Amino acid sequence: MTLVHKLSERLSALLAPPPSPAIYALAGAEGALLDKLRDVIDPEVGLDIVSMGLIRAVTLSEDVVIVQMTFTTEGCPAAFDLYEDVKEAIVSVGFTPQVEVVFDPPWSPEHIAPEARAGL
Amino acid sequence: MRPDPHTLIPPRVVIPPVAVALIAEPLAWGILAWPGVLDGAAWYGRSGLLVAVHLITVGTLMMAIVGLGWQLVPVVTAQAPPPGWARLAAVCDALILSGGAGLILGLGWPQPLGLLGALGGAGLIFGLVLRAAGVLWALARAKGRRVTRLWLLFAELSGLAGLTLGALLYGGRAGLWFVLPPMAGIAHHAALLLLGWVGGWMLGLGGLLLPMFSLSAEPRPWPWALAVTAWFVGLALGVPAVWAVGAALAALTLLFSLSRRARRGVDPGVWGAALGLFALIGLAGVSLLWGPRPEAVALALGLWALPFLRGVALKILPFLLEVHLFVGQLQRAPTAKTLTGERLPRVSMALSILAGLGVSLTLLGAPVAVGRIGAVLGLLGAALHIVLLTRAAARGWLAVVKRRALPGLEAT
Repeated sequence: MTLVHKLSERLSALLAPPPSPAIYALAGAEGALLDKLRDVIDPEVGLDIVSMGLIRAVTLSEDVVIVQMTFTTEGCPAAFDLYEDVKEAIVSVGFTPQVEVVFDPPWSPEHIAPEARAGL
Repeated sequence: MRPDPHTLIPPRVVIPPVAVALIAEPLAWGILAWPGVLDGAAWYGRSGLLVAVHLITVGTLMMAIVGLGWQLVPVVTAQAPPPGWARLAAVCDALILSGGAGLILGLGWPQPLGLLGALGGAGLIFGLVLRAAGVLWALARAKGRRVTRLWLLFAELSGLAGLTLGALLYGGRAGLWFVLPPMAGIAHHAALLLLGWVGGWMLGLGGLLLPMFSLSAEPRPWPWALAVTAWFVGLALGVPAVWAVGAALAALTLLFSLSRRARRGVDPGVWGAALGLFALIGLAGVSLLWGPRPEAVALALGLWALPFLRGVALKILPFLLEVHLFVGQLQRAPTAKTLTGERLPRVSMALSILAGLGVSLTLLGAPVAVGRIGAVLGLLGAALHIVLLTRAAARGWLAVVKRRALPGLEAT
């Protein structure tokens, strides 16, 4: 491998965006719950919040579903509604929601699921 | 942690100034289309041009910034607004709307500088100072987004300086006191309010909203910070070349950010705002080559500020409408884009740009007929903007009433 190749790879690694913290698919019951969250749509982009990369974790503990989610920005006018919609989606399938909002790392367009990005 | 429901500001304080902005723009174009206005002849005994310029600056740009600012300051500060924000907004709206109406009627009234104009100007200034206090308080409590906050902070300071100068000029023309030579005073008044206050708010908010809605990264911090510094240092020192460097850098930084968007389609909001940014680069070139010129005001208003504002409005207004209409409804609601459709925003944006071009060309020396045709196109474009927003509101409202998406409005 030439020096140019090595440098180019090193530079690409430095410039590459950090891996997305969002989840787009899960197995088993948690996967079914994640799919249920796809009913909640981002009002501006028109994508579901899972494809948007707003869901960071879904954990099922007995009848409590713990969801970690974020928003496209802090102070977003739609944030409260999306949060309530997520809770409602979980209640609608018979579980108790526990929704935590996190902003670290902040959402960025790179967090949109690759297949959804292709259709934008 | 749960999101604060107060980040969604009550529509009763956002809608009135935005509605006035939507109505004032076609009125301004209508006056400019009137025979004699663009060639400087008297209009009902007064300057129609002065009335039209204030309908655009105060009636359209200022009111849009005031109305949208109430909703968007919490986005800039990344937290819920300070306590009493909606009450402050309601008081300021009442003062600013009634004051602005009084000022414009006073400027257009056949009797020179009537009491109405003075009272209106005083109310407007009082409302804007009160609003500035609220905005500065909110910015002081903010976290993050330092460069956006700088745009807004300097915009407010410029606005306060510009308003003080406007009051001095008004009093001076009424013979109340001696002030600066009128032309120099007017130039500074226009620069501080149009480039400082309006420009600072438009670029500060535009730099945040346009990338957000286009799914691109925010402008790169260093060039964005250099741009805001040069923009306001140039204005404060009265050195057009420094301002021009800031303007060109701001436009290029934002254009670069928009060019790297994840949303590949270029909707009218984005291309309108982008054309406004190219006009800003042109304006910077004019200032760099020839220094401050009165014609630059026409370029600034017609080709930069109005298309850029329309571009931002085409993104944010349907979104706010959507959020307010579909509050707490777990359903596949129509998106903002489906509510407005695509053709009307495109036509409205194109008409607005042609209008700015026509009027600017006339003020730069082209035949008056070109400007009047431009003004008629501007009237049509602004009226179409009202129609498309009204139609979007009606479609959304119907969808809510019927509890189902209307045919053809399903979310994609």
